[in-house]
Amino acid sequence: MGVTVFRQHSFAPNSIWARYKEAFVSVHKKVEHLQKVDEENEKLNLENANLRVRVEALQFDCRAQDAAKKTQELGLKFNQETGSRVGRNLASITYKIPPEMLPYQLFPLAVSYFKSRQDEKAAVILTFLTGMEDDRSYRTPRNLLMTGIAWYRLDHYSAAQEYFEQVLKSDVPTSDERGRQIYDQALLWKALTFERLGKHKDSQLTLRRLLDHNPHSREAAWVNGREAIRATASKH
Amino acid sequence: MPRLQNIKWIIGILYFSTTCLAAQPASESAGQEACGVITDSLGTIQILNSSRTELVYGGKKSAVPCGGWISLATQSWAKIQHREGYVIHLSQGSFVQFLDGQTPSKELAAMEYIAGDRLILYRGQAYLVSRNGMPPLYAMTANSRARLSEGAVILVYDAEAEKSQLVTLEGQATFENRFQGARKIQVSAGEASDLTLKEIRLIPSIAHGVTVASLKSKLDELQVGSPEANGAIRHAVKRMERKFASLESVQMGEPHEADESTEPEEPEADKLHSHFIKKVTGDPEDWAKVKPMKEEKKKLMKELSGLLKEREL
Repeated sequence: MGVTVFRQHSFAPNSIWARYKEAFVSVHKKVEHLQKVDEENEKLNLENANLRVRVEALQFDCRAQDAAKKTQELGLKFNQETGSRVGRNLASITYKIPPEMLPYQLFPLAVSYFKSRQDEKAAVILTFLTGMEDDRSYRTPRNLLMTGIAWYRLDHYSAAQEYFEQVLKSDVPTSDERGRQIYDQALLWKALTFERLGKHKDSQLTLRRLLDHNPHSREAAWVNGREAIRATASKH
Repeated sequence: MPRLQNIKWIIGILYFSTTCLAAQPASESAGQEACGVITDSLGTIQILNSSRTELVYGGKKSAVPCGGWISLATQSWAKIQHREGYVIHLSQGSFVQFLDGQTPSKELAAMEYIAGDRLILYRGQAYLVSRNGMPPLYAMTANSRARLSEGAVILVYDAEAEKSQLVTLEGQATFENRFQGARKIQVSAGEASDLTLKEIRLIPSIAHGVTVASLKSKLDELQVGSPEANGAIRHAVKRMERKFASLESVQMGEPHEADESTEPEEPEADKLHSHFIKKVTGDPEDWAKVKPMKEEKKKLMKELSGLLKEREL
């Protein structure tokens, strides 16, 4: 409004006011232009930011959907292979056995990993040691049991089941205390694996087998504490 | 008199023009709830509100609205104080959305968003700190979710490799596949866990130690203060030493003592596990007794060999 009035006002030609008016009008035009450009720039920035958010959100959604789809597909695959949707197999474990280490060095390493609950590493090493064709000295019931437990902890129930079965089929000297413990514990772990696989009947049968095998053992007492007490009482 | 009037006009018009062109102050979006405030920053930071109608160039004291996005250009960083008390640092190239942590809508719930999610990391890396008394901090990426009750972590998402990583600097945090929450990986101080579905596994890798060199670069990029950074490096060194200890035990032929579990315990098998460990591999206390005995044996052997040499001479 003020600018229009100022522009329309006539000053004497070549007077200082006429020059001031000319300069002011010129500056104002430039300011107006700058303002327009600035507004346009702001709009463009906002549009760009909007577009960027849209792109990022779309990419994020795509990646999330892809991850959800992969999770479902892999879950089904693992469920068939391992008996659990979150099971891990040898292919999915990135850990590699140190090539410079010999079996007698690997064994204590595997035990230490087993004890410190680094189950992936323990499973990889123990599977290697118990599966060696040329050296069967590591294929003992105790090591097979540890391998089975490591796989159980990794939710690979079918592999765990195989190892527990191998323990039960092997010649465990059940006459001595140590051998008996290993045998009983293999039965217990096998029952747990059946339970995890949803085979409740098989689990019950395995536990019954354990109770029948050694009703007074500590392992049997875990299964049925009263059974152990009752059995002991009946002795008297 | 008319001259004086002209001067008044000129002054008035100039004042009007300058006030119109004066820079607008960076303000909080009208009607938008602020989730945090930038406490310190460097470089170009863009903040867009949740309705995408207002773009603010963030600087010190700029508000970050809930549901809004924050984007950092190259050679930029920002330190944000969350309204719940969390401290969040973002590094260059990061793109993050802040959530209010409320129960998500049906659509979002279908995409595995949960109540308590505070931050979505679209790309880049974030340093997150939660202290005692604050609600647990949930931060997620396209494929993972990190949960932090108390401590400090770095959450990284590499959009190109579709890989998420959680590095714990202090305390303990859990890390999981966002679409498979059945198995959470516990990551302790000085450890890291990665998740990429390209590796054909559904759960993040077991926690592993982080190298000091890689940690230092991340701490620098995220502008982590020196006391916190030193603490993080100390934890990383300690964790790496634990690994050396296990290698040492290999040479000695002894397993090292058991430490914290990397997976949630299973109540039914827990008892069996602990009992089994003692039964089959022996009590950790027994292993501890072996080492001093071996050392004593070594000493005795040395003495014996010394005596034999003396006798020969």
